[in-house]
Amino acid sequence: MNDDSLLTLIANASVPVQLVMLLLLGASVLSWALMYVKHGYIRQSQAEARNFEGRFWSGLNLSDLFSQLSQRQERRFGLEAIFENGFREFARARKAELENSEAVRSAHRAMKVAMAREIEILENNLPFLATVGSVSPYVGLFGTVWGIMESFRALAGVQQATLAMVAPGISEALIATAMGLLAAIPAVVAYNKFSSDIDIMIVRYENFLEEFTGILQRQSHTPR
Amino acid sequence: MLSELLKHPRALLLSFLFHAVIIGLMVVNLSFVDRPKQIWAGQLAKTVQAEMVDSKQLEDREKQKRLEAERKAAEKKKKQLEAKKLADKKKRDAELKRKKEEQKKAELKRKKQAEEKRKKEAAEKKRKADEKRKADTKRKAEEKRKADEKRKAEAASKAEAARVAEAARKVEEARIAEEKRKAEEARAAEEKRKAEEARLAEEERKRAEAEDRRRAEEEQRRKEEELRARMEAEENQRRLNTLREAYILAIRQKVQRNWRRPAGSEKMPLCEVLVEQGPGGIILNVDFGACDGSTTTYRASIENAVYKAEPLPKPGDPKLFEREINFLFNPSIQ
Repeated sequence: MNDDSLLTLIANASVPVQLVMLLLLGASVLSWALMYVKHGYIRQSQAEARNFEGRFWSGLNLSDLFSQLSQRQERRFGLEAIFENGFREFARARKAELENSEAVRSAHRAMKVAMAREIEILENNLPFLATVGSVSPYVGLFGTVWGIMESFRALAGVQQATLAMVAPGISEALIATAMGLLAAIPAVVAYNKFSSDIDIMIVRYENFLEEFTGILQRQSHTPR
Repeated sequence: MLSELLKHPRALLLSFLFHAVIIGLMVVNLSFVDRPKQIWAGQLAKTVQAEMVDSKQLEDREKQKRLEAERKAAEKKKKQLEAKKLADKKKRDAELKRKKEEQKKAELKRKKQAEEKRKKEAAEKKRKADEKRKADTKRKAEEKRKADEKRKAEAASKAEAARVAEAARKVEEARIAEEKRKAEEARAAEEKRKAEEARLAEEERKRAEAEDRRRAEEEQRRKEEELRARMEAEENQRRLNTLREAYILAIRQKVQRNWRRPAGSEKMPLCEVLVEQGPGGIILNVDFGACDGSTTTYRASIENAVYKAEPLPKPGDPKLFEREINFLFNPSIQ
């Protein structure tokens, strides 16, 4: 019992406290993995948006851009998906001899749907990070309270209680709180960063959508 | 959520590794240092229980223990006394016996010593006579040996003197020869060193020259390259500029072709027109810059002409496309 490393402390803790620690460790591992995945995806979307905006405003003909996009095999996401959906809908409506304003409106609608889908993918799994960030301190606290409870109960049969009798138990129990905080802090930081990044992306998508609708409106007045 | 994470095993693996490293660091490095000796709950409880005995009971027990101890001590003392008496008697008997024996032994020893003394005296007499005879013969032999040695030593000293002289001469000769050789060698080495130095200097000079030449060549080449790059960039810029001029001109011409002179003979000055265009030359907005003294109808006619010119012509190079184009509208050219 003289070896007082962290591991022996954990090994000496009672079963509920150990379970709490295991839970927190699992939450931390999952949240870090999620952060890695999410970070990569947001980066990719930002790069894609930059790239596509550059191409869109480079003066290329819209139908050329559309055919270039539809020839590509891989899945389109972000601005590309919004543009492709809107333009396809617009072309279809014009082919169906719909009225101009109707065609523009249907294209707008299609783009809205595509944008909602993109935002959903971006925001996917973000609530997990929020949950880990807000709940794991409580879970850790629960473990600590439980551990302290047990170490006080051990005192019950003793008449001369000293601090030295409860201190090891409390120290064991406090590890649970430390682990909860360790799991929560990165998750909260990551959640805040990701949600602000995603908000910026949404504004970018909306701006593009409106601009593109305006262009379609103008184009609908040129003869077919 | 798990399903998406399972699609990215790399992320999971990295996360696992990260945690393993952190835990490893804690185990290796952050074990709590200098913590005071730990007392675990069970251990402590035992000691405390032991102390919890009633104090009166404790005193009684203590007293009883003391009485018991005193009784035991008295018994032990008595036993010791008895044992001592017995031992004394035994000791006295043994002493008597030992003395008788010693007397007997001393008698025997005296007789033996007298015998030995007699024998020793006879032997001493005989030994002295022998020694005298031996000394005589030895003295004679010694005298003879000394005479011989003296003769031999004289002969040897003469031969030694001759040998030493010869050796000294030889050493001197060798020394002179050696000095000569050394001087010769030193001169040769000096000459060689000088030649080497001269060669090195020459080489150094040559190398420096080559270096200079190489540097100059490099400099030259770099300058040429720079010049060429600059010229190319200029050329490119010129080409883009002409293309841009042509692009603006094409737009202006298309707008002016579509312009219809409004009725009436108002003032029709030069007008700066700002056009915002989208991909494919679609017009998004038309605005006017410097356009002094113009009337609304005139400006409306120009705006009309711009919209009629849609889609605007494409530039010769896609790089030249701009969202905002401005040009000077001149009503006198049509």
